[in-house]
Amino acid sequence: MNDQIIVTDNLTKKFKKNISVDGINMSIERGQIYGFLGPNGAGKTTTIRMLLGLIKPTKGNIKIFNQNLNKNRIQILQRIGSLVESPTYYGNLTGRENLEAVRRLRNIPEKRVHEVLEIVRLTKVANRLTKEYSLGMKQRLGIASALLSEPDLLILDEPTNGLDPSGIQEIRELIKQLPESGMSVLVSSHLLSEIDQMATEVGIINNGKMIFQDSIDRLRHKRKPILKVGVSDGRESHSILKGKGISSQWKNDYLWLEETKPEFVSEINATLVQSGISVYRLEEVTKSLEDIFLELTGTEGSL
Amino acid sequence: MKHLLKADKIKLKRSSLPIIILLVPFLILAYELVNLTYRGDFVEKQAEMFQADSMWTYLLYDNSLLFGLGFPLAATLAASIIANVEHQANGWKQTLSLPISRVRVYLSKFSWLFISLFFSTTIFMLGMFLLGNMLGFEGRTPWKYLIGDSYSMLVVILPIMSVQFWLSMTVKNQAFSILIGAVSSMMGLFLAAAQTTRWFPLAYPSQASTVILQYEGLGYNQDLSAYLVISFCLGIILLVLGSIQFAKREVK
Repeated sequence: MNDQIIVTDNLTKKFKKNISVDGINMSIERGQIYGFLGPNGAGKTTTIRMLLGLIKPTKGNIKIFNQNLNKNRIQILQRIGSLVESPTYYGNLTGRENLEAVRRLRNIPEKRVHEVLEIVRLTKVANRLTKEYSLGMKQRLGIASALLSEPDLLILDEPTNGLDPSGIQEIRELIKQLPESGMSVLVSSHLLSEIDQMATEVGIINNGKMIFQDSIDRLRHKRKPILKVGVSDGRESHSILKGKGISSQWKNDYLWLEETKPEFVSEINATLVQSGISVYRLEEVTKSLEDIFLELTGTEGSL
Repeated sequence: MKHLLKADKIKLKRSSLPIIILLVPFLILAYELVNLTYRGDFVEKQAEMFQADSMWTYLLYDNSLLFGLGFPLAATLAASIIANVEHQANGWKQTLSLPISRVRVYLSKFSWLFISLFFSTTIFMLGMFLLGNMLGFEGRTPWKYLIGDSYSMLVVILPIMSVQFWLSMTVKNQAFSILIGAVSSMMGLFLAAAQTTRWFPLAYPSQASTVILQYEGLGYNQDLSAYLVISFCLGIILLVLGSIQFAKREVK
């Protein structure tokens, strides 16, 4: 049995001359929470729109549930719940009526409306017109209608936009539970910390290109700590260490080494001091995920 | 399709669609009420001059121009309201990522446009019947002509409905489709005035009455059946083209 839920092959979208999405090979397996990460305008929403068949790819293929999206769009959409960007709400209807409209379309039992209202905690305001809702409530209503059909695949584009910290946490907890019932989730965000707290897999997109795709643990692995050494003479120390077969880097007025084991650190210290160099700082530095993210995307992309 | 129609029905709840449906028949009937009471003497003289065989015939003739101007406007506004429900809700991306064919989404909303306008003409027909009885028109109620007058309009307006609906569905800014609709319904009046241009479909609504003024006075409209056939075919063709184009669009 093949457990691939989404597979895209060289997915490309051009708008006139702009390449918005450039040859993306995405792969999501059953039960994963796939965090789709990238700065604003990187092509996240365009990719998601293609996955939902809202726009047609210029090039490339999309397979969802092992079916070709081009040929079996309706069967595939039957098993997907989605929320794309700013939430959809019919302002002249109450929250419950909004869900009722989707329920009628998909022919879902009526009690499910109750359940999803309960899940996103909108039961109290369900009978108020949605034009009076706050942005956070509208967003939760959007998530409710995505959950309505109990989909096998949930696609959420920036689901925590406009929510307050407690709302963000609620949604995060909610998303984390979903794979227990066999659901797979694709969630996009421009905030690394958010993806870090819920995803099991990460895809990072920048300028339309996928620059990283692996498990979140692999991404975390990149934050292995390094040693920062403050010495009186950088050049001298560098060559001393090189003579001992230890590679180091002289950057930003500090000497940087790859290892941080205690024995290694004291050995370095002893070597340098014995060679007549004064060592005034030995520090273990851990790269934050933000640093890694910026390293991967390059600074021009973010803002 | 049944689910789709039901879903679209709930989306129209608390919209201003009922006002539009009622407005045109009520305004015209109110005008006729004033016309037939305060200007009663003048109207009777005119009816005699036109050799109208009863006041029913005169009424059918007299309101055809107003109805021909007002009903395309009502169709324009109704189409705009129905489409705008989705534009305003940011709803296209949600609706079109549900497992339904896009052609059906289009046709379901068009069905509601047709149903609304059907109510509008029915109200107009019943209103004429009440007005005639209230004012004590002589002779039997000419149901054939009353029905003909009202529902011919519904058929004759099909091409305009198809075009306006497509415009409203595809162009987010509703000012655009309403402008086109308003200009074309006025153009229809002018086109109807000349012998050749009156065959242009825009001109049909103001000529779609069962009774028209001929050289020898008021008489049965001989061209009506041609208008009906042309409008029906053209309307269906435009509707199909519109739905195909809609299904192929990229959803922004």
